[in-house]
Amino acid sequence: MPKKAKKGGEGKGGGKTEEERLLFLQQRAQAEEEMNRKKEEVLTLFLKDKLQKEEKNAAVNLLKLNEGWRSILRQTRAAELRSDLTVLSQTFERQLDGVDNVIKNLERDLQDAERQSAQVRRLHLQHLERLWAQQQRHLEFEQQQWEDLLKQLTSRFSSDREQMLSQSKHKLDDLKDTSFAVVKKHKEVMEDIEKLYNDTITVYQISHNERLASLGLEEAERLEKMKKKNRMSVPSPCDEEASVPFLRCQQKCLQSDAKTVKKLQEDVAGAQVKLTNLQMGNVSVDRDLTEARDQVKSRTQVLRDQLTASQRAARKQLIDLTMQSDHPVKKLQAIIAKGQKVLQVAEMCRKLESEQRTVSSLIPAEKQRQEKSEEPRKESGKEMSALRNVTLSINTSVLQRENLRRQRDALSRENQQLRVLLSQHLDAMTVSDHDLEEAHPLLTVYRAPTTSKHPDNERRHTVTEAVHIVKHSL
Amino acid sequence: MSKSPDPPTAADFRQLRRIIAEDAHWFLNTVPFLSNLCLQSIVRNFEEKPIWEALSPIQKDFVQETLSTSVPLHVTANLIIDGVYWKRCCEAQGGLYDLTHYGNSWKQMFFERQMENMIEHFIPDVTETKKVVEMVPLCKNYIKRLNISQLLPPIKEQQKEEEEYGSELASEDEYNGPSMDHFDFNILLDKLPNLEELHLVYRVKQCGLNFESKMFEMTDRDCESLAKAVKSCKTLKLLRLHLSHMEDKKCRLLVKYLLDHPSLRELDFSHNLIGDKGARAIGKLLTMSNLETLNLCDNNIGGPGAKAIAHALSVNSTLLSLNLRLNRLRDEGGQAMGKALLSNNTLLHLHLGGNELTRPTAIVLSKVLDQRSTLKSLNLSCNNLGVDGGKALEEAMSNNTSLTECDIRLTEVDEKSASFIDQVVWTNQCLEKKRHARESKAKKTSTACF
Repeated sequence: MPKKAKKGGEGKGGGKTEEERLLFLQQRAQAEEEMNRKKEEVLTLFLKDKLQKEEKNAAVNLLKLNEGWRSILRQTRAAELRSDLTVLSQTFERQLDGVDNVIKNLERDLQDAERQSAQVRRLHLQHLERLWAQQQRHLEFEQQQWEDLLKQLTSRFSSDREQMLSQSKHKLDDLKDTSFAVVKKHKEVMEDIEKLYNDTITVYQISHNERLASLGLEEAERLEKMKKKNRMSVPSPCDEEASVPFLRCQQKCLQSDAKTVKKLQEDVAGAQVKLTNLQMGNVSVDRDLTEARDQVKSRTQVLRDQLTASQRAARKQLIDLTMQSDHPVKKLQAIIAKGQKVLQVAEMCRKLESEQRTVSSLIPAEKQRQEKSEEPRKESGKEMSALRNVTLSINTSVLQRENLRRQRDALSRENQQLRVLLSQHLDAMTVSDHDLEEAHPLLTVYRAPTTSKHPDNERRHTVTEAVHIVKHSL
Repeated sequence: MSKSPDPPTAADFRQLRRIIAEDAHWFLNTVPFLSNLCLQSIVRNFEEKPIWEALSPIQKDFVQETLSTSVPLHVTANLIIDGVYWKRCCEAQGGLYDLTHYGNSWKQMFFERQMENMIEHFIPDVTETKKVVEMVPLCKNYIKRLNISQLLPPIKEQQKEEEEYGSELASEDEYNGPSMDHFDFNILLDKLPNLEELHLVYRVKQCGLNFESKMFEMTDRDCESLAKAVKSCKTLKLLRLHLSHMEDKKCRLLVKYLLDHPSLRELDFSHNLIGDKGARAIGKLLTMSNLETLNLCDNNIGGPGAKAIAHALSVNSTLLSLNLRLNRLRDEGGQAMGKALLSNNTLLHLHLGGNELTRPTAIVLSKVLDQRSTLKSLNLSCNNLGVDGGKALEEAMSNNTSLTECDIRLTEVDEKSASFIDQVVWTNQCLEKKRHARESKAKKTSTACF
């Protein structure tokens, strides 16, 4: 509109002058602008109002819409929920029923189980009681038997004892009686014996006397006998004559007898004297012998004590010696062992050195130097050169060991590579199950096994270190 | 005139005069006696013609040893006296049984076992009752004791057959089921004139997988029929009905019929479910009959029941042994028992083990022991009497001279009290033995005088 107005304004204002036209145009423009502005303001206000109204309406509509939507939603949801409710309630009821059934079943089972367990318990109790009663009966039976046996035994023993007591009493009485009788008899017999003895002695004496007296009687008897004989043969008066020589003979016999008796008595006396002398001598000899024996015994004891004491002293000395010598012996043995080990080590070193002489260059050079320097210094220098030798050999051996280690590593690496190569080669050669699954197994081409080679510059001979060996061995 | 079995040698010719017989089976045995032959034929034909009375004792022995054990009982039962024949029959029956249980009589053992087997395998409505009834006249003189260890229930029929049953059984209008739940003792007990002991269990042995709890229960009908049967048996001395799930109701029913029983001396209702009401019924029974032994162990008797029994005890003067082990007496019941004992003079053995008794009961019992009681054996094991209870008992025992058995194991009693009580019991036992010895000597001298 403002453009149109402007164009219309311009079409009308053509007859005026240009300044007036310009002013008019400007005024018109201004008025138009103002009008436009006012219109715009009005419009904006109107639009604002409208907007506000629209907004309010929109809000209201929105609210209405919401409400409506919510109500619809509620309705639908309510319906759904009701259906769900019914379904759920039915399911819950079913579950409740199921659980109730389970509970009832469990109750019943529990009751049954309780009954069964009670039954079993009661039966067990009954069995136990029966067994216990039986055992009681057995025990009583056994006890009864035992008591009966005991009674029997005691009665038997008591009866035996009584019997034996009575028997022993009887025997004692018998013994007493018999001993009394025996004592009596003994007395009587003793008296008899004494009497007899006395009688015999008297008889002997009488007989002796009689004998002496009867010698004449005997002679008289002999004479009588002779007389009788003579009477028988020759009754003559020469009896008396015959009797006289007989009497004389008899007297001679008597005398000879008396002499012999005297001799015998003297002999007996002499023998008795000799006996007593001998006995005295024997007693003194015995005494001397016992004294000598005691002396000898005491001497032997003393000697024995000396022997034992000397033995003990000797033993002590031996023990001390052994103890004292134990230490140095051990030390000596240790030293000997050390020396042997040193000798072994030296031999080993010499062997190794002799082996390594051609390779190592230092040692012969050093040996030459040694040979040169040996002349000026002989004894004191030998030690120094030996030390030098040892240090030089140590260094060479260390270097050689390092070399050998590096060689070993290289060799091991080569070994591993060779193994890998071999495995690859073998894989290439063989057809495994894994390969068979792939397509065209036999036609697969494996990459040719290759390996890289290490530079071989570091290969050298190594010399074992004597010091290390020594450390390990000693 | 004989032939030796071996071919004869030349030497035999001179020694024996012999005939060569034509019968190859002819041999040298002497001909058996004619009487032996007759006896053998008697034995063979015993069934048809039993001849027994006419035989001499030796011949009777021979018949007993050789007679076949399968001869029907109606022939042999009342004819052949106790002896080897019945021993052989028992061995044929099988099983290992101790003769002393059966009164040291083979015949009694045989018939008792026969009857027991019959009853134990009796299936109601399947086995015919006339079998049992027929057996009775043969064995009624020999059965003194029946120890039945199972009673079979009727077989569970299908419903169709139950209906058939209902139509057949005219007497049982209301109940369309088997006519009896277990063996009906009415048909049997009154016909056995010598029966003295009856042991019963309502259970089934070897039921295996067919286990049902009803197999181990007594029903009301059973109870009634048993009660009537027991009442009709006038010589019964011992009735033992254990492990049969007997409750108060059945107990009261049974007791009702036992109230005036002339000869019942021992009653054993152990391992059942008797409660206080049943115990009251039993108390009433105690006051009215001459029971000597009562065993109610492992039931459900509580305080009130115990009070009833205690009241009966204070009035009764025949009961010698009472066993109330493993019930639920508690202190209430225990104290009642103790007070009753103060006025009872005949009870010798009392077993109250496992009754949840505690200190107050021990104190009451110690009062009983303190005075001059006749109680010989008291068992209070497995009750929590405690140290105080033990001390009370100890003090009481120092004045007691008659108790020869006192069992207080597992009662939490102090060791000193226990050992003191043991010592007193030991001295009482020795005193008892001395008294016995003196009495026996006195008897001997008195008999010697006469």
